Amino acid sequence: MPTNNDQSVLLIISNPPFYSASNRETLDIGLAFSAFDIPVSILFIDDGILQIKSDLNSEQLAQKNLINTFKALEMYDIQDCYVINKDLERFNLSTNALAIKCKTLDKDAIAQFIQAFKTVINL
Amino acid sequence: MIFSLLIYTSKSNSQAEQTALRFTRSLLAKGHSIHRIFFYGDSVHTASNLKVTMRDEQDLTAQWLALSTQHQLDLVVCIAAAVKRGVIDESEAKRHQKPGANLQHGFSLSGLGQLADAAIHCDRMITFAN
Repeated sequence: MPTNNDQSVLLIISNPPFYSASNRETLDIGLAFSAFDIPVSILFIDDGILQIKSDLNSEQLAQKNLINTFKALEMYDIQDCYVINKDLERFNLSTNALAIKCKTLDKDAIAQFIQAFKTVINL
Repeated sequence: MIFSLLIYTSKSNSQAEQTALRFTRSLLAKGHSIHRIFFYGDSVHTASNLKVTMRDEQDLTAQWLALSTQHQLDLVVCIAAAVKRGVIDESEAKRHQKPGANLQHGFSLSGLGQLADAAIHCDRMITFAN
């Protein structure tokens, strides 16, 4: 949860991997904001949770795999990553199957969670 | 209130940018101020001066420019997103050895730092995507 409500930013990733440039470009926003000392949190929601599955293989698509950049988030001081319990259930995943450390939110708590941020970006 | 807009989709496949333009006009009419309009993703095509608008369609580039002239809007285009999609100014054309530049005068290329600055300095940042 944001500690500094004045500047906190939440990035919402809701598209599946390899769908469009949006996940990559959302990630770029996170890295840039972090360089400006803006506290960034990321919420992976719906198909967006698939973006951080640790066993993604992009070779056959001839696309760049973003997973290493996601893994680098911690180095950019972005440690607040969240997934939703109903999405884990839907894809039969546990947080162990994800490449980055995520906290789990209850789906009924999402609205209140999002409301706590000053800025929310959902591309 | 101070607003900034983040526009993410292009006019050719989404209504979002048209909505953003109308939203901007409404904000100004209500007396709010606009810190920055940031064009990201496919919306960078708005800043290209090579597009041809059909006679029965809206020219959003011209409408942004008219609004910008009237209200001194800061129209910033993400440089990384723009260069990738072939929207470049003179100095990028030189740097990447391209035959010409196509950034519409009135728009400027800059980095995501300008979006971070907008997030810090405005009361509300509204995203227009999808």
